Amino acid sequence: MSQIRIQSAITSPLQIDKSWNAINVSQAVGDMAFGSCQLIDETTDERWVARQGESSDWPINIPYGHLVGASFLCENSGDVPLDVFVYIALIDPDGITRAFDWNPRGTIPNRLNPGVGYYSNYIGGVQLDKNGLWVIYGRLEYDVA
Amino acid sequence: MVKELFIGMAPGSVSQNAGYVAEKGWNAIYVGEEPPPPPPSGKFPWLWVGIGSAVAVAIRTHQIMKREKHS
Repeated sequence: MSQIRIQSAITSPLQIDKSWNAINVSQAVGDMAFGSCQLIDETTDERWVARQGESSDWPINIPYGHLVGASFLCENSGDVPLDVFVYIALIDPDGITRAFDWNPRGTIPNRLNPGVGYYSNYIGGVQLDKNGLWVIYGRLEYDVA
Repeated sequence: MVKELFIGMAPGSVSQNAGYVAEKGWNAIYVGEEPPPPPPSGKFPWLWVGIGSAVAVAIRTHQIMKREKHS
């Protein structure tokens, strides 16, 4: 029994160790936020804006047959520059896209620094020829620049 | 712990240009009802002018005939 103890003491020296949680590495993550959306009745030249985070009186009641258009604002709300591709569409009550504008991947992106906003292209000249709810759809595809 | 964070990401294959997508829809416009169809008079104005003229002539003729009877 005593032999075993002596051997153990010789082959297993005392150890002491410590670790420090020293560095936290995280990959840069881009973040985009939608801002206000603008709707224009081109027939009467009336304009309405739905601001992000605020209540609005949308949907707006617009008479049948009027011409309308729209655009929206987006913003780089992250900490890194982003290359942004913007898609906007106006969709009728049957789910049919009646107008759209798009700069797809492969085209020149919009490079936005942190905190910088960007207006989508304006889509207009759409005649309201269906009853019901019309939707403005926005899509942002973005990469860390 | 660190390994868990990178599950599914082979070393060296993590791209800074991984794409992100954000979407939003605004219920923007409500269209209530279609406009009423235009009245038929809009299509045939000459017909209503003709009918009006005929009625006027008939009334006037009736008045003249009445006056002649009395006299």
